[in-house]
Amino acid sequence: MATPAELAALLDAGALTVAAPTEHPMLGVAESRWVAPQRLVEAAQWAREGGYFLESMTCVDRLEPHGVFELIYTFNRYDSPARVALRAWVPRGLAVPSLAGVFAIADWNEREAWELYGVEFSGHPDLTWLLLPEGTEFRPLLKSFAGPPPSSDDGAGRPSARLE
Amino acid sequence: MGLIVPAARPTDAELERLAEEAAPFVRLSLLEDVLNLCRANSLWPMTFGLACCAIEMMATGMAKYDMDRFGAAVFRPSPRQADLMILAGTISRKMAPVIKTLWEQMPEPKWSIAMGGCAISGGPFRYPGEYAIVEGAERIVRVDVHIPGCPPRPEALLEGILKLGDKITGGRRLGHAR
Repeated sequence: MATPAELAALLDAGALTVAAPTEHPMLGVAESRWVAPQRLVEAAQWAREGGYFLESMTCVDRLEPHGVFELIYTFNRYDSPARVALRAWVPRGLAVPSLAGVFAIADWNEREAWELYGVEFSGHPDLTWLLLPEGTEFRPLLKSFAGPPPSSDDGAGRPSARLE
Repeated sequence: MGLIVPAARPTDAELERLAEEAAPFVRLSLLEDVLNLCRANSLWPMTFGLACCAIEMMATGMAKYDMDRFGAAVFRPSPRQADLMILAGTISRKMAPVIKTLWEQMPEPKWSIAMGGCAISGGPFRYPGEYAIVEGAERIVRVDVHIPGCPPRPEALLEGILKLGDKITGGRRLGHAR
């Protein structure tokens, strides 16, 4: 079992990551690291071998800077201090390697990020809708989202109402 | 020996007068009334919860509020055996086709109760541009009783079930107990 500091040192030693600021008392994240999207799987394997599990995955639609997606993978363990966060900036259109082969729960997390933001994941076993009805075309958590298009079903077989 | 000799065929006016005279004594709809009394006093809801209102529905079925007093707590795990659908909670667009299928699988006669703000109108999730919620159960199934609240207390659900009973029997049910 690696402590967050040990895991962070391992990640840094593998030239995988760069330290990112964190506020441990407020966020509970002991170590936070930037990682390139191409090296996410490798970093997740380090976390898995260190005795961590994937607690949550967050996606942020960052208009500033560059209009990228920020993916935040939070790893946790049962000892204290616990949490390690991996942050990746993903340009729009770039397929992120899926972590489903390392942590099974990433399967559903990635489906959610895909259906709500449109982030593509390569190597995902089944990238389909999780919370929204099958066939939903719009990406509702994008900052540019202004209501479902009228062509989409409102759940009762009628057109959706548009945001005025 | 007296024979009952049929009179001449009565006119329509005479028939109407006879029907009016007999109306207080002859109730051809009695069988339907008895059946409805039975239906109203043994509603079988489907085991089916959508969101937080379902927690109140479960509380209503437990010992403190005891829906069984009104014959309505025999929650059935199959729509084929149920005649009441309590729509307890938020109806998401993903769930809507499932609810429609379950409703169509229930045999007639059947009733439904929209419990809480979400099932009535979409509740707090109704805003311009919303993308995931069906704005009211009435858009997908026929609703007999609406119970306002967020969530409604168990007493409110009991009142809704009694109101539904009144609707089924025409309001002559449990007169002694109300």
